[in-house]
Amino acid sequence: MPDTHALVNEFVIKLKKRKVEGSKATAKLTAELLRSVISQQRIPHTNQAVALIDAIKSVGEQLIAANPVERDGDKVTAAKVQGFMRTGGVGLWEEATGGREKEREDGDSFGELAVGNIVRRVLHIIREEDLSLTTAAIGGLSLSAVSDDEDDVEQDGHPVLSAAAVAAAARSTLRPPSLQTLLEDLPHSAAAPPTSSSGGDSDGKSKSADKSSRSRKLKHNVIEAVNELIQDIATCHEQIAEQAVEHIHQNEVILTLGSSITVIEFLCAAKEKKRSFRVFVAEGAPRYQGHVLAKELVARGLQTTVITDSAVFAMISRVNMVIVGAHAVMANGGIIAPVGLNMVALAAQRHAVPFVVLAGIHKLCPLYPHNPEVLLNELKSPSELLDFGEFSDCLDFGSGTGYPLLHVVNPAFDYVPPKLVSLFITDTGGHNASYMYRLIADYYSADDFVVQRRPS
Amino acid sequence: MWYRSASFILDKQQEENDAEGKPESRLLSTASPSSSMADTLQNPNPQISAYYQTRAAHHGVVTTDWLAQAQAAVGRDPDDGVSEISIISTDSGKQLSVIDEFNNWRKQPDLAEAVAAIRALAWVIRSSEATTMMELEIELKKASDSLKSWDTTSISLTAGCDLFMRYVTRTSALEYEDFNSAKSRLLERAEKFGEISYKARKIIAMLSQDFIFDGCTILVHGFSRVVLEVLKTASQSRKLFRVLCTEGRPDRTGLRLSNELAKLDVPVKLLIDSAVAYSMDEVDMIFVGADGVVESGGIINMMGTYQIALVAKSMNKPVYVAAESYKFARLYPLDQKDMVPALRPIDFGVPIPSKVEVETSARDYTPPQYLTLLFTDLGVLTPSVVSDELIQLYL
Amino acid sequence: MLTMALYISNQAGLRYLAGDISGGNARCIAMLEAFQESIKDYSTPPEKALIRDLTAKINCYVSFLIECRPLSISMGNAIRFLKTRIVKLPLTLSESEAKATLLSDIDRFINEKIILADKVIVRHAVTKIRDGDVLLTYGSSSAVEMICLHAHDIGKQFRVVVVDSRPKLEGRLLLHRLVRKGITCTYTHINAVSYIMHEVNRVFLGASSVLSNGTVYSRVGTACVAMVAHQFHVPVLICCEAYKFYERVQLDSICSNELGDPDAISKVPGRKEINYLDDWANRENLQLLNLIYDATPSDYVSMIITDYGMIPPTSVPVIVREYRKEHLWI
Repeated sequence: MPDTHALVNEFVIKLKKRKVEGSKATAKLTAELLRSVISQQRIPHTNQAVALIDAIKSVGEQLIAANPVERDGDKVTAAKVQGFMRTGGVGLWEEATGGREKEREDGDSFGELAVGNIVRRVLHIIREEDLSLTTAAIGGLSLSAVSDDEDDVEQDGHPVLSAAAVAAAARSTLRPPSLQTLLEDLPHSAAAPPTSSSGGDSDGKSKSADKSSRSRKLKHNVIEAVNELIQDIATCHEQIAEQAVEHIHQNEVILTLGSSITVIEFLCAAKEKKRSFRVFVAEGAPRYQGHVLAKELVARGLQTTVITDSAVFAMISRVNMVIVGAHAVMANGGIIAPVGLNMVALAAQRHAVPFVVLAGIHKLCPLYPHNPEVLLNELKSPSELLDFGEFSDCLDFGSGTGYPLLHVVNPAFDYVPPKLVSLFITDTGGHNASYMYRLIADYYSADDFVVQRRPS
Repeated sequence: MWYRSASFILDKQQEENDAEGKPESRLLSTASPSSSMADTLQNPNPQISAYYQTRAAHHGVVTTDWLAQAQAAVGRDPDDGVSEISIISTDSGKQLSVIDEFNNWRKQPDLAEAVAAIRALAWVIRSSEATTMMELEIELKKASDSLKSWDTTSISLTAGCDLFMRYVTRTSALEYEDFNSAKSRLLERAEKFGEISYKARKIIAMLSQDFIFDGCTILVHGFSRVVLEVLKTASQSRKLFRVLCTEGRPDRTGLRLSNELAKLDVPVKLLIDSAVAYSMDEVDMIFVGADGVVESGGIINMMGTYQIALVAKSMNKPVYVAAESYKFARLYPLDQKDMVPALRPIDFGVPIPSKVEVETSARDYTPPQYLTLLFTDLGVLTPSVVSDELIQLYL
Repeated sequence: MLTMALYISNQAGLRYLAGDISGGNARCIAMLEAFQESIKDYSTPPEKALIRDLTAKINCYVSFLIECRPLSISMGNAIRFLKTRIVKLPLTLSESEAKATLLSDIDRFINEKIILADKVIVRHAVTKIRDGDVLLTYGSSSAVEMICLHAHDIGKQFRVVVVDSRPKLEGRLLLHRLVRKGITCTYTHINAVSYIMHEVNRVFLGASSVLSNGTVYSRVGTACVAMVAHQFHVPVLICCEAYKFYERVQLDSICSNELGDPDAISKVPGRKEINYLDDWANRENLQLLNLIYDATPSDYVSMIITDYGMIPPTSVPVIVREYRKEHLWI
C-alpha cells in the first residue's frame, strides 16, 4: 500500500529528526500508525495471523532502525564516534555516523525504546487475538466434527485432538517456555494444523464462510485491542496520578531530578487532594529540564526549591522520598533514566530514602541490559558542556600523535540497577522491581523479542 | 610427612634452581665480591621472593618426590655451601656479610624475621670501626638499606630495620658523653630484641585467652608462630576448643600446623582452601597471623587471607589478627596490586603447558574493614590504632 | 578599618569580594599577605599595649573580611595561629623586633604549612600513580593540579578525567591548564560520573578541610563523586595540607554550610534559551539554593595524603593532636 508506506516513512523521518516529544506521544503515534497499517493490510484467508505479524514486523523493523538506542551492532561504534567533538558545525561526526543529521532540538526524543515496545505489544495482541479466535473456532469445529464424522474419526489419518488439548497446546506456544509445559508433547505446528486440518475435515463451503468471517473477525479484534492500547497510553498519567495520595503525605519533602510529565501529574494530583509538601528539584544539567519542572510546579502552587545536581548528596538527608520518571524499564527491573539518576539512587540508598519510579506500561521493555551504560545510552553534543572556541586546538585529530588531547563525554541516560529501586508505580498499581518479569510475560510474547523478519 | 632442617631445604632448593638452568645466579654471587658495590647487590633470584621461600622452608612440608629429587642431587655436601659463603665473606666488603649474617639468622625456624634483621645490624655495630655516633649511624643506614633492597618483599625485615634505625637516631640524639657506652647500649638493646620478640608472643597469647571460650571452633589460615603460641597457651590452660585448619597451598602450611596441634591433643580438622565458605557456618572466630600490618590497619598475609576475611565478614564472624608490634610498616596499599610483587613458584604436580599462565603471587592485602581486632604486644587494638602508633613513632 | 580597607582594596579584598580568588590555599595566602602588609605599616598608638591593640586590629580586619565572604576553615586556622603568635610575643621586645618576628612567623607559616607541604603531598601522591592509570578529579584543587603536573613531568603515562559542575564550573580552568601541558584529558559533568567511573583507576580530590571524625568538607559535589567511586570500588584519595584539619565534627552537609548567589543557578551562561527561572524572585513559592560545600562521610575515603604522610581517615584526630603539640595552637 503506497499509503501505508508513505505514512511509515513520514513517521520514520519524524523519529530520526527527534520531532516527537516524550515517550507517551511516541508510543501513541506508533500505535496509531500500526493500527492504520493493520486496517489497510490485505490478508490472505489462511495463516492470516502470520501475514499480519509479518507486516507489522517489517514496519517495526523500519521504525526501530530509525532510533539510535535499539539498533544492535552499530551501537558501540556509534557511541564511540559520538564522543568526538564537532568541528565547525558539520564534519567528522556526521561522516562517522553515516550522515545522520543530529539537530539539537529543544524537545528530546524520549521515544526510542517506546517504539519497540509498542511494536512488540501489537505483535503480542495479534497472537493473542488469533489464539482466542482459533480456540473458539476449534471449539465450534470439533463439536461439528464430532457430530458429523463420529463413524470415521480416523479417516484422514490425522488424530483428532480434543479442543481442550489443542487450545492448551496453542496457548503454551504463546506463553514463554515454562516448567509446566516442559514435558508436554508440543508439536510446533500445533497452532497451524487446526486451521488446515480442520479445514480438511469439514465441509468446504462452511469452511470458506467461516474463514472469511474469521479473517474479518481477526482484524476487527486486533484493531479493537490496539484502540484499547492507545486509550491506555493516553490515560496512563491519570491512572498513575490516582495513586499519588497513598504515597505522599502531609509535610513531606520530595526530591526529583530533571522533568517528566508523569511526575508533574503525580505531584499535582497529590496537591489537589490538599496535601501540602515541598519539592526539591535538581536542575539536571546540561539540559536543565529541572528548571522547566520547577516553573511548572510553581505555577500550580507547589513549594519548590531548585538545587544544583552536585548538591543532591548534601540535601538528601533532609528528604523523605525520591520520585522520578524513567525512560524505560528493563526486564530485570532496572531502569534507563535521565543522566544523574544513578547518583541520586545511590545517595537515596545510603540514607534509606525510598526511590520511587513512575512508569507507564508502554515503557516496559523486554530486553535485559548487558552493558547498559554503552549500549542503551546516547551521547549528545559536547558543545552543551564546553565552548568549542577555547579548546579547538586540543580537539584536533591531525595534531601530534593523531589522538586528540581532549575528549568530551555527554551521555544522555543512566542505568539504575534494580536493587536501588524501592517501588515502581505503573498504571496497574505499585510493584516491586523483582516483579517486572511477570508484567513482561503478560504483555509481550517471547518470539517477538528480536523484531526481525525471519528469512523466508 | 617429612621434616628437614631448614638449611638443607634451602640449599637443595637453590640447587634445584641451578639444576633448572640458572648458572648465572651462582656466578653472580661468586663474582660479587670482586665488584662489591653495596648499592648494586642483587638477590640472585629476584623473581622469587626470598622471604616466602624461607617461610616455606620453615613451615612447609617436603613431599616425597621432592625429597627424591633432592636425594638424587646428593653429592653436594651442605656444609660446603656454608663454608663457601664464609670464605667469600672474609674477602668481601661489609655489605655482603650483613646480608649473609641476616640469612644465617633467618634460617633458624623459631626466629622472627625482624629479630634476624636486628641481629644482623647488631653484628654491624660490633664489627664497626666508627668512632662517633654519626659515623656509626651512617654505617648502619647503609647496612639497613642494603638489607632492605636485598629482599624488597619482606615487610618485617623493612619494619624491623626502620624500627632499629629510629631507635639509633633517638639514642644518638640523647648525647651520651661516652661513645662506647652508647655503642654498648645499642648492642645490648639489639641482643635483647630477641627476648622482646619472644616475650611479645607470650603477651599476645595471654591477651587472646579471653576470646577463646570453651566449645568454640577456630579457623586458622597459614602457619604463624604467634597463632600457634596462642593455641598452645589455650590448650595448656585446659580450654576445650577445636581448630579448622586450611590446607594452605602451595606451602601446605596447614599440614604442618595440624601436626603441631595434634601433638598438643587439640582436635583438628583439615579443610582444602575452597571449603572455607562451606564450613564458615560452624566457625566461631578466625585467627590469622600477619606478615606485615600496614598503616591503614589492614594486614598483608599469606594468599587466601583476604578471601577468608571476605567470607567471614559476609557471615558476621570475627577475624582476629595476632601480630607483634614491630611488624607495623609504613606502607599503604590501595588495592591488591599496589604492593611489591612477591612471587613463589607453584608446583601443581602435573606439567603445565607453557601457554598457560600461573598466578604466583604469595600474599594478599586484607583491608581494615574486614578485621575485627588486632592482638599485639601493645595490647588489644582496633585497626585504627595502628596508624596512631606509626605516626607517633615516625613523627 | 579604613587602613585595612586600603590594604585590602589594593590587594586581596576586592578581588576576593569579586570572587576572583577561590580555593582554600589561595585565599589563605592572600589574606596572610594582606596581614603582613598591615603589620609592616602598623605603629602602636601611645598608651596602648602592642599585643592587645594589634589583636584588636586583627579582629577588626577579620570581621571586614567576613563581610566580604565567610571565612574558609583554612583561613580560620591561620588567623588562630597568628593570634597565638601575637599573644606569645615576649613583652621585652621592642616594637620593630616584635613586628619582624611576626612577619617572619607568617612567612614561615606560609612556607612550611602551605608551599612545602604541597611539595611533600605531591611526592607521596605520585607514588600511587602507575603507568596506564586513569585518574579522576572533581572541580579544581591546587594540590591535585600540582600532582598531575608533577607526575607528567617525571614521565608517568596516565590520563585524567575532569568532572565539573554548575554553577562555578571550576573544572574548566583546571582542564585548560592540564591540556596546555599536554596531558590527555576527558571532560564531563557530574551527572555523568556513573557513566565514566568504570574506566577510572584512582580518584584524587582536594578538600577545603578535614574534620575530626574523618569527614571531608569540600566543594559541593565531592560527596557524590566519592560515593560513586566507592560503589565502583575505586580508591578515593584526598589531598589536604595538615593546617586545614579542624577540630569540629559534622554529621552532614546541612549543619553548617555557606550559601552562594542564587542568581548563579537561574542563569546559565552561554545558553540564553534556558530562562525559565528568570523572575524567580517574584514568585513566592520558588527558592533557589546554591550550596558551596558539602561533607563527604569518611567511609568513602580510602586515604588522606597530607604533609605528615598517607594516613587513613580514622587518624585525623591523631594528627590534630600531634600538630597541637608541635605548634602550640589553641
